[in-house]
Amino acid sequence: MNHKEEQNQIALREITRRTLLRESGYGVGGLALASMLGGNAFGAQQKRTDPMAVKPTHFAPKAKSVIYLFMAGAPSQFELFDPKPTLTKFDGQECPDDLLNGERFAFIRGKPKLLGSPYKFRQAGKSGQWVSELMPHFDGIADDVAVIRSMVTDQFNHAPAQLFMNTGFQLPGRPSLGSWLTYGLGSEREDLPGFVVLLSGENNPDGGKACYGSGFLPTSYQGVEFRSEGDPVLFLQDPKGMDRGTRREMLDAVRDLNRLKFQQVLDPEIESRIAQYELAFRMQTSVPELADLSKETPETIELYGAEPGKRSFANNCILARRLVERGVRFVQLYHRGWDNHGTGPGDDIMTRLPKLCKEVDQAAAALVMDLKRNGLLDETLVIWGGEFGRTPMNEGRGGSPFKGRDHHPRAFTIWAAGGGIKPGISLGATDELGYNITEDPVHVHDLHATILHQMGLDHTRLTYRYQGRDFRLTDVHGNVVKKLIA
Amino acid sequence: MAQQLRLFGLGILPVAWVAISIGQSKPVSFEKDLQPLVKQKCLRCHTGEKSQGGLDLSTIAGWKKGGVSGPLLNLKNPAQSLLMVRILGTDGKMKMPMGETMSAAEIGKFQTWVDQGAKLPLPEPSFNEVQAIFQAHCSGCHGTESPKAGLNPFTKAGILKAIKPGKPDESLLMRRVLGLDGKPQMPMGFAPLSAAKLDTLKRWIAAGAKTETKSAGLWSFGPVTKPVPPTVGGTWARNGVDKFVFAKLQEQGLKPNQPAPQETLLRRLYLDLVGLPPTPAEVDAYLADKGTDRYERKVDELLKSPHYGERQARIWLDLSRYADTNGFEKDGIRTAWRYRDWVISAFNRNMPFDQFTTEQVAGDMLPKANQDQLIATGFLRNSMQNMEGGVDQAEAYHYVIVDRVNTTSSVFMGATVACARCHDHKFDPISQKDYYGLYALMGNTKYEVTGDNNVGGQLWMEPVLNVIPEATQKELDAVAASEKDLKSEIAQKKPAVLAEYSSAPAVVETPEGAKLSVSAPSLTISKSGDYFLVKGNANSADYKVTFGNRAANPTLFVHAETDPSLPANGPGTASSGNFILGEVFVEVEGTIYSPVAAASSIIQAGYSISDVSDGNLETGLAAYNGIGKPLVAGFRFEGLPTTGERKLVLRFGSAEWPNHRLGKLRVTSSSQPTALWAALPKKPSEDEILGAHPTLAKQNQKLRALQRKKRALDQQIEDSTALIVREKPTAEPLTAWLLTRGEFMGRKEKVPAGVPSQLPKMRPGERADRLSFAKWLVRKDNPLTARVFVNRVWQQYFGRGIVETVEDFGTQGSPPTHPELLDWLANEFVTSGWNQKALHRKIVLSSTYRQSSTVSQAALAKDPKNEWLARGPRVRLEAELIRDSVLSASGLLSRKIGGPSVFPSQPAGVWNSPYSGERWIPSQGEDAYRRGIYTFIKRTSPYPNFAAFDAPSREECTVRRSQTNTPLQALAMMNDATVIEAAEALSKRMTRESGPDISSRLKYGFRLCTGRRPTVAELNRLVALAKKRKNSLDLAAIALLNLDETITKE
Repeated sequence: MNHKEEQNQIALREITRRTLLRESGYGVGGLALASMLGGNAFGAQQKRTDPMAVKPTHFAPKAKSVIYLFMAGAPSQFELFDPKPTLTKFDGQECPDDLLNGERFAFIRGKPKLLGSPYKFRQAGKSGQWVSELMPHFDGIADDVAVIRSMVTDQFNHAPAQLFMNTGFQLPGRPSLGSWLTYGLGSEREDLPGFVVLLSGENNPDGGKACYGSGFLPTSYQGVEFRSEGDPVLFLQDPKGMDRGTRREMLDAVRDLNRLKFQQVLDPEIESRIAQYELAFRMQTSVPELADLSKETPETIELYGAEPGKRSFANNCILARRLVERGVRFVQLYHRGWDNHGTGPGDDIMTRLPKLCKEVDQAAAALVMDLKRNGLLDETLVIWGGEFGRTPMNEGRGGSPFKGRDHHPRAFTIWAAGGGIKPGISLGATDELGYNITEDPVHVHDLHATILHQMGLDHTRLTYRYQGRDFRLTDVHGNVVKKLIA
Repeated sequence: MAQQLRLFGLGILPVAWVAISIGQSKPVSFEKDLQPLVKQKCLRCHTGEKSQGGLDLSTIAGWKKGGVSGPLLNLKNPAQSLLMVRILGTDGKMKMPMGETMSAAEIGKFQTWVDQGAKLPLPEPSFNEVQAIFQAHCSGCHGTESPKAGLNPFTKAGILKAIKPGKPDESLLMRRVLGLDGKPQMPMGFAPLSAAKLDTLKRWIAAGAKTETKSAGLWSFGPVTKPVPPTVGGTWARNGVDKFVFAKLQEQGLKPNQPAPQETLLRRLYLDLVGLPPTPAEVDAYLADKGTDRYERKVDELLKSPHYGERQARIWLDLSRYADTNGFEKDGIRTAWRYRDWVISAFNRNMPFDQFTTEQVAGDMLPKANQDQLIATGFLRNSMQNMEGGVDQAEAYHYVIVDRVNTTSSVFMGATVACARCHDHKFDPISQKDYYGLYALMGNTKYEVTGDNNVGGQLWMEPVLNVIPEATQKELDAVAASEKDLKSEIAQKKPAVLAEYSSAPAVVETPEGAKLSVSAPSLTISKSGDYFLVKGNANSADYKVTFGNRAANPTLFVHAETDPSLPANGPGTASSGNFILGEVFVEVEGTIYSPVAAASSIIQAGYSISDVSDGNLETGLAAYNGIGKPLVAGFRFEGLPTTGERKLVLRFGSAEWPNHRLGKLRVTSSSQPTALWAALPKKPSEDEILGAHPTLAKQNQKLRALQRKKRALDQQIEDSTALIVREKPTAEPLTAWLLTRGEFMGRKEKVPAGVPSQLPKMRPGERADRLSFAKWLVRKDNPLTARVFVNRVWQQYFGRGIVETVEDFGTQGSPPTHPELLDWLANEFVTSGWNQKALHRKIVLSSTYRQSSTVSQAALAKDPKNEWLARGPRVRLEAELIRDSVLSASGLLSRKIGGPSVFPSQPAGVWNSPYSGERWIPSQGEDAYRRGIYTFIKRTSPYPNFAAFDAPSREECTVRRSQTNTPLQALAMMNDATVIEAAEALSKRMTRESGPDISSRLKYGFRLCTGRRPTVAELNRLVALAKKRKNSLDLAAIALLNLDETITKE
């Protein structure tokens, strides 16, 4: 490198650092980011200047990554984790009036009847966590998991509730949890997206891509879908007939021409674009390598019950482990199909629900076990749950003879494991009919605050200035659930 | 004491100055040293807002603001401050203080203070500022009816409890927010107050904790002033824009950049005004034009281009959140493109912005509203609609109105009114009552209740307008007239035909079809009695049956039979047992004869047997209502040649319903004229007899053609509906429920319709409704609408608004960098009759706009964001414009304007809805290459290439897109099928349209992409790339499309 080039490089580095502040913070919002970066952003060790560059946490984190197993459609707590003998006792009787007065239901009309769970419960593991026969593999992880039986949300329809669970707001337009996390923390691996979404089940989430959108944050923070058909990441594959050598030649030419342009106009965006092309080139190798399950041992494949090459939750669970192994910050799996209203055999709790549990139970348990044996569970927070719960009443839409439950926002169950969460505990309780929470309610905002906390972020300080005010994932709410923390 | 030496340059540089300071001085304090002097010498004339020269020296704010002659202090260049000019009299005017004298020492104090940076003490915080802090941090617990600890800082009594005026250290408030006295630090559970806020509170208490509120004083709520452009800028300044900009540059110690090179400027202008790059031919013609006004003429030409409307609409459609689906879970398709066409056309017609506003906000309420004005209200209808089963429709509709209020106030008022849905605005003078006043204005619209609430299936549907274009209506009328003529012809022959039918002998059928052949190799044929059994999978196939009937006018019968080997017993091969017989004809030695009449024993609703000769394989004979039953269909042919082998051809090939063929069939024939009736299961109706009779064949054929045409026209009408709003007729004054915390169930009190109280009132006596609101928005004394609009227009040229937060003109937004320029533009805009094109013209004609975007490192360091405009803009193109540029460079672009949305190619599997079976079927022909603005927008599944380049999902109003630079963008440019196809076309175009040698071809390609000629180094690099590939241009074409410059406006 001659002297002039060297000088250019130095100047360039200065300029790109400044641009980081301008671009990644997007105007006035940059203030929030700038203050988070503190003085370190300008230190000599800071090499990356992309929006995903790793940023300091507010305090020492417990977890480095999150795997969120989102059970879209809302699984029934009564059939899985929250046994209610009293409800079984009154099965088939009319629901007491005082529970119905002033309530709005999605589909229940008139006076519904109570519905006891047809499934048997047992206590699993040393910790003796209650779980139903539909989840036989739960035994293997019961002592690693905290079951939260007292979740509560504000929304009782799928799209708004999924948005609420993911973005803290019921309408599209706010950044999702994964976007907030990658905005706040960046991601270690440069050649992989920081926030990855994996889809399985009968279809995509009801809330649409807004469930993993970046809202008003820059779009670089939106979740990137890894697809099970075609390119794992859109536009990843070179066009037919182009080998890697040819691609490299084209990229070299583009880089050289962009450099020539940079020398003319000195716009730092050009250098940034050159860097992004190099990153894209590397992603073309790193992503297929990552998505390739053939390197997994048969034992691991069997543990998850996976069938490589298929669109399945089990495959996605293995992928999730591979992603966090490689430093990806936030991995979200959606498995849709839990909306068991009982309008027919295709959505009832006798035929459909057991099938769904089969699709999910083994792989979810395997994921926790696999993370643990690889020493990753300590730094990976795993969450399993849907967007709301189900009613203790049978829905019986239009007199349907099939058993099923309507949407219920007031109480539902999720579980969390790893990432500094207290293992082997049950938190919270519901009343005898499972209608309301009697102990330790955990609101969606509280869950968000806790997840951020485990990742080393104070939910009141992770802000972004938009349309004249500082926005937070938790709006003006949320308390860290201390009882959950180890 | 410091001495100043000033040189006022004349000529080359309009104004230049050099300041030399000599010696060091001890600091001069404003409070201690200057204030006594000011009191003694200045305040007699300069006290209060109405003082001499508008200059109030009794307050810090007055010092900052200055008087009618401009700012008193120039904080960037203190030595230039008007204060000293007036004290020293260097401008030739009478020295200040007038009628007083000041000693050299006294003047020296002012001079030194100025030299030291003219530091003013922080002004005493207003109670408004303090209240904003209380609102933001305390109101949750202390602003309620039963405040925590009985302390409510929003009442005077509450303040007196917590504060000792003048003594911050002894005030409970300060001690608690500082976390003293061993108690939890306030605000409890939240981050502590920032140092700046703590300081504000402290200074407020120290200064006596005054609780008078001043009028809000938000700059953007104040009237638009009428600034006169300063007389600076010399010959550089072409118009008012430049004068204001130059004045600021001067203040900042900056100089305008060189003008951009002609080619660069021309491309910038094209991209800005029509959203497309110029072709090399257009560049050459421009450069060859030696007229001194060629730029002006080019501006006018582009403003007249129909693509101007598309360019402006691209931006407006983000604001109006235009999309082709309803959003949320179901995300069903809506037909809304008429609104997009309206927007494009309104821009092209240069509709004045006041009319543009009124029609969109209240077009339906205008007297004798025409179709276009109704379509314009699509602006309000672009809200999402939640049709998920079980959704409370009253709540869903509530959110529609909320979206309407939020969008309208963002777009026209630049105000974050949305904040006031849940509580009084924390920072701006907008109360929750104001919010619901607007809600009442905009929420009185009609809807129709459909569906069954007993099963959670209710929907509230807003009006849809059937748009029948004039031409379509004419065609419909013509069809109706011809139909009438034909029917009367048929009626004349009716008695004879019916008589013939009643006397006709029984039909005799002859078995036909010694031979059947099928066109698909995957199919096998076996014989079972008279029947052929066709097995295997094929989405399309021709069945050809050779027949022996030699009559000139035979009738052929296809007998479809059921069989246990077929799905659902058949008679079709689809999994449902159905089939679609798309086309039927007879082939004789290569000539094709279509049936003149046809009948079938079973016909599925929505299908018509006469469509077997319409050339469309999606229509024809299908029989879902006859699954598991045999079927017979007859076809009458006329005028077959008497010699040659005759084949009956049955063609299957629906793309929408693959593998829908017949599985088991046999063919018979008859030569009797009335034979067709035998195909009918029961005694035919009069219409059936008339429809199948040979003597009426011609009329029937014409009639069917007319009916097909009518169906096509009806479909056109169905595909061109518009979503509109209609006001509910209501006699009473409009009101809305104020909702506690904005929650749907939280009804608190009814508030009357109206506009925010801190803005100009609506006209007395006028009914407060959507129409009067629309008129209020564009009233001359509305301080927001014009400012907000011109600011957004400014942003589209410079990548940044004069108020950077184009969406927020409130206290939390950025203040304008050039407030006078903003007001001047707003004022000129309104005075011009809200003439949009004139506004655009003014900006692009300015020298400011024409500057080069090349930046020196020094300039970049001094003004990284280009706030002061000492250079031209360099901004990455918007997602849609990237597509347009790529297609334009390659020559693939369709320049068709308007019409329904199109489906350009996107990777398979992107579009998956939870419920609907809708599929993305790529548009064919020209529609595959339309401009980005016409791409179908599905809200829950945005077009991937656009999403990568920061296009919003259109789920809500977007005033400002983010500008990111990511690896996913690089992947999209390298590998998206559209870009690859364009690269191939570009490669061919370079070869086709330019010289024979490789470098002239590459030079041409470079010009197509960047609008300029490459430098030698650039060309050499491209040639090197091509030479490595045996002179193939394909790879170079991809490289050209991937250049930073190709996707950047510079």
